[in-house]
Amino acid sequence: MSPEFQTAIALGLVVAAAAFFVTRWLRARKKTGCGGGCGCSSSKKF
Amino acid sequence: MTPLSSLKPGQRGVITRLPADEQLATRLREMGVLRGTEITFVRSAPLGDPMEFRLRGFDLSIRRADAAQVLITLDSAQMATETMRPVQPVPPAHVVSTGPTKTVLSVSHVPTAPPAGEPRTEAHPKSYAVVGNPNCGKTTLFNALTGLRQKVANYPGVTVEKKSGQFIGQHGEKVELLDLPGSYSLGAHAPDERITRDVLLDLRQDTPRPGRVLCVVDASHLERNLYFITQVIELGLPTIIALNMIDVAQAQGTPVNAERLSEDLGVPVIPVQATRRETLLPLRLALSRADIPHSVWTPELPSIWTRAADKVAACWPGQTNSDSRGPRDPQARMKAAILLSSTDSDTASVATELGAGPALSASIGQRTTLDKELPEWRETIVAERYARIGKLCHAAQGGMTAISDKLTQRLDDLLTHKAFGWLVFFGMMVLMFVSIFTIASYPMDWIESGFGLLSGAVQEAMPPGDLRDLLTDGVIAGVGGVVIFLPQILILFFFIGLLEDTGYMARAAFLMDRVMSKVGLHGKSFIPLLSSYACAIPGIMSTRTIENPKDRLVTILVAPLMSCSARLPVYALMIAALLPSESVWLKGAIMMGLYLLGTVAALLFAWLFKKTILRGETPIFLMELPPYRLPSLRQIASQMFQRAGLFLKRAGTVILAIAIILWFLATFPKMNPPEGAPEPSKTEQLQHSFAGRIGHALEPALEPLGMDWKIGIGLVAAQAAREVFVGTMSIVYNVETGEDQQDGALVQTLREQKRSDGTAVFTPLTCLSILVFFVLSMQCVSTLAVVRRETNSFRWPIFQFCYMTGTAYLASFLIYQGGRLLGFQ
Repeated sequence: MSPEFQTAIALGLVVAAAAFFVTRWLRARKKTGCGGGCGCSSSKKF
Repeated sequence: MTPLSSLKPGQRGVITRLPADEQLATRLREMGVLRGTEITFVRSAPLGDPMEFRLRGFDLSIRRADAAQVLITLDSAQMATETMRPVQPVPPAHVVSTGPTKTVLSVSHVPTAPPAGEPRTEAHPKSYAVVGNPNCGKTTLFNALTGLRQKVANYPGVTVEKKSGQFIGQHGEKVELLDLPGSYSLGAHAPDERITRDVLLDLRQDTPRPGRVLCVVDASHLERNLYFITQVIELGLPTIIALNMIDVAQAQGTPVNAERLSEDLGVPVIPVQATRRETLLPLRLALSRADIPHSVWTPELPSIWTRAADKVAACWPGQTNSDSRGPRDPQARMKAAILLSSTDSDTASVATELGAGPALSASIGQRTTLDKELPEWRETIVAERYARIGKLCHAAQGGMTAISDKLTQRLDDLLTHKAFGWLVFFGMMVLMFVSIFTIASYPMDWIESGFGLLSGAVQEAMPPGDLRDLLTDGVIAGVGGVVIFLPQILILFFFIGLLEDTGYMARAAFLMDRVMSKVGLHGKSFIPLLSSYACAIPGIMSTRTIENPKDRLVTILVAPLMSCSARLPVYALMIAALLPSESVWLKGAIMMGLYLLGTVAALLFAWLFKKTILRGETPIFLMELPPYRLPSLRQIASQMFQRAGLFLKRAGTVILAIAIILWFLATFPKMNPPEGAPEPSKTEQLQHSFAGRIGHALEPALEPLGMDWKIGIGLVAAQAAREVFVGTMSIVYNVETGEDQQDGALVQTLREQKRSDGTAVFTPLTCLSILVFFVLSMQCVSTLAVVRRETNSFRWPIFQFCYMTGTAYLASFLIYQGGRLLGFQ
């Protein structure tokens, strides 16, 4: 795998990571909810 | 007559008068505190407040000042020895079929089938709303029925959890369940209770009311549970009752005759034990039935009240039958009853929530009539309902009186003792934090070795290049640096799950209420704050149980100060860098000190906000103390695995993406030295990169805190997720030193770092400064997003970010500069 090819793939992954955040942000604007990831299980009410 | 607060432990009285404060009186009535009710004082919390009372077979805690407003006469009669009559055997679990109801009806109510042509919003042919009191085992039953076939979302507009699931019925059809928040009454007070009310009354556009209702009743607290359940039954929907905790009821000497209860209420009553799946088959079969009866049970309330409710219901928008003598839609009547029963201060808001329209003025008029013709009608309505419920319970339980739960009493004598109570509480906290350092260290070493081997394997397998660097220095270092803390997080959740499941959490709120009330909150606020030790997001969501909007907002604003699990990796890293070879007890003590710092800061700011920008009265505190239960290890393990899954999912998505982007920022743009010039060093390359430039831009602000530009990069990255700080340090220092993870922990690398003047970067003072900064600052975009939704504004999350980050900066500054002045390093 040549260094140039490696650089291209690496930059492609960076773009994909950036796109992931943009998509997440757009989705969050439409839906309400915690955004996920933290486990939105509610506490018990006492 | 004497105030309730004057009772001595073990002393019993009979209620003679409720408080003049209508809001307090309404809440007390709904919990069964009525004139003529026998009430026994059990104990008070270690600080003297609140007080725990026993009535109608359950324990209720009330603040002393509120109890002082309730008047009683002392019961001087000797308490009769609870006779041990032969215990009636519990009927075996089976599907109960019902015949025609024998319910006696009030004058103006005629039994009806659901009115023909009445539009019924039914989400699915076999869909159930699952309702019940808090602590009745509703969620345990829901989980047992649906297993993994669950979906968790949110109700739009509020961050109240919407939990739906399904199971396969006896004919292979899907049966859907919607788990609604626990509620004591349809006269809802808290946001989550309003969700239950609104779904049952079909007021939510986003959540059509399920066509049927599954009521979960705690058989060991039948009387109190039936208050809410009878209200639900009055709605006239197809209903099944799951009579849960039949084993507990039997053990306390009050087994319930499900057949008799079913006959009296006119709905199927299925005995179950939610923790034992083998008892659920009859319930599954019942839920699969094609035809579920509509009950026509009513509580036989005074006709003057029923007429008033009918007149208000007739004015309700959408009511075509304006003849108040004719059949009345039971749901319209219930809405009218809720509106009529609301306190004067709440009437307008309740009318808006229920969509009363012109019925509002009708309700005000009818209230005036009721005041004249039936004085104390509010008390009478509730008392009549409880009287009917009392007859139901007497018939179903054969007149048995519950033997008080001696184990719970003995445990509470210890766990809420003036001295031992606090000892046990703090002891448990110490045990939790020391466990995090001791037990977790073994799996942490394994995980670290695993990632090290992976990194080495990638380096060997691939030729040098950017992709190899991304994988080893970015992905493996970044993600691995976070995943390594999974064991510690699991231990934390294990302890929290244990405290919740055993019923100790309620005692913690009981213990802490006095402290909380000093800052203008009450013990219920402690539970969202305690939950925030795991994550502020569910903690903030659980503030929906707090009725007063100002108190809720204050709790939301201070909840992120409680050290969440995301901070744990940062704490562990910095404490290890601070004290590499000290004992785990000292490390545990420092860790606990950080948690204490966050807690104290939360209480201080709560006090400040309640005195200034969110001034308000100290709220009513009424809280049931459930009996202690053996924890369900399966449930705790399930929660731990769920948490682990979510943590790894987050590591595999958000943190992975951040690690990739950070690597890019720390690597590009690359320096292109002129031909013949020497290759730039890793440090020069890092300084030239985007990350380096951001770090350098922040450095003047961070230098007074003892931090340099590399730590600055970590702080910026931590805005997305706090634990990313650790991964960022891994990336930044790996990039700089070129060492891979196998050569030693990140801790060692950090301790070896030197500034340009040769002094160490991560001195004890710097480590402390970073720790304090992380305790106090607002560094979670997800939390800010939830706060925005919960408060429905941008103002409060911005305010929260500013006050927390400002406080963190000031505190770190004082620690570092103050320490240096005192001669520390």
